[in-house]
Amino acid sequence: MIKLVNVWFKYVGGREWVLKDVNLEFRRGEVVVLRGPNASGKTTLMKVASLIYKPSKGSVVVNDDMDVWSRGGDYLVKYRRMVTYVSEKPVMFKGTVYDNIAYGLTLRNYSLSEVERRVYEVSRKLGIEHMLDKDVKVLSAGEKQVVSLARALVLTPAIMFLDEPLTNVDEDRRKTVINALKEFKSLGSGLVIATHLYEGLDEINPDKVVILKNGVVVKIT
Amino acid sequence: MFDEVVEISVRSILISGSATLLASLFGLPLAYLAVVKAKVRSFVPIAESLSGMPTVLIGLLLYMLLSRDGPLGFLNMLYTPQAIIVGQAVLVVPLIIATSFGALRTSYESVGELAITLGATDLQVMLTVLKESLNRVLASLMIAFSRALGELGIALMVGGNIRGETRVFSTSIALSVAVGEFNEAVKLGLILLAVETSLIVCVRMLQGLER
Repeated sequence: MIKLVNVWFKYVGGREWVLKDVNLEFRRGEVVVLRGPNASGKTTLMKVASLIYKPSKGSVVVNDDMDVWSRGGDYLVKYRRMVTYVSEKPVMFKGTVYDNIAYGLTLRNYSLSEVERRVYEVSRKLGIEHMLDKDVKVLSAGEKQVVSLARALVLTPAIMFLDEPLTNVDEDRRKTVINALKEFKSLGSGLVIATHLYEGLDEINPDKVVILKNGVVVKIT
Repeated sequence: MFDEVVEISVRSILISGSATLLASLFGLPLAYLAVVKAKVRSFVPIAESLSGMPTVLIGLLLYMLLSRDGPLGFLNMLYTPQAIIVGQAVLVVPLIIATSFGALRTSYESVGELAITLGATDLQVMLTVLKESLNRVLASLMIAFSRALGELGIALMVGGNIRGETRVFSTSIALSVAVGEFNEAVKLGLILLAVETSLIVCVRMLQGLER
């Protein structure tokens, strides 16, 4: 469980608060949809909750461990490995699709055979097993988005934060992605999805919809 | 004479290569530190201004430090290849910081944050960033090597241009001109030019690979 307690956030050198006194909870097995206009703070909120950004004020509590940032070091990495954030604009490491999907597993020192098994399994689920040997330079924006989703799914995090996961994905592949997310949820993991494209996501049955405006949570339904 | 030209070429490349390696051990971690810690980033503009430091000034400072009466005189390093290596390393550390900072920063802002989201430790993030920006970092080191190879002030003042020991391209050319052996100077100049041109071609190729 990840809990944001009275979280305020301002970028270094920034004047305005991007998040203002946010209190939210994200749990395993729960689907939360974050909605709000552009620049309402959705991406920042997800980056704070996934322990990429340190809140300027307030604390992030993981599994009742108060303020993981003050503990830092190995603890921070341990908690970061429980969650994964997938960006709206997918960034790729140099190399092949396989290299990209295997990256997080390699960091965790999985054996080569286990890495291979997991990469092939997730690639089959997302229908990208035919492109594993491709250089990422030749991928379309939609393909990159699916690869970045595979790169996160393969780690089976407790909670996954997805920023506009369907934006560049074409119609044919959208169904496959939604099915993979449904399966991910059925395994007991949590999903937090920031999106303006709600179409199709109702199939995942969100438990909670959070509306953000100017960095403030205005409504939770 | 041919043997001496080969000897000078090999010595020059070894001295400047060692100086560049030594400088990279300090320069690259400092550049990376400036990327990840915004608070210490202010030393990057300082490094940029120090990149053009006159070599005779570094030579003079190092001479005062290493001379028999200087604070480091007990090291007996003056007029040795090691003295030139240290001097050239001091010369190119700011250049390495200034030229690799941009490459490391661009890489950190994209893949660095991605590595963090995928659970990388600080060390793993640094290795990933270095790996992703390797071509541009190598290009930066080659520029530094080129600057070290072509400098005269340090090699002359702390190396002493001793035949068979500390004579390098630049000091040898200067000596040849001073004694009127222009053919010798031109020959060495052409070799230096060939080495420098090959380096520039390598830098361009590495930069091209990035695109």
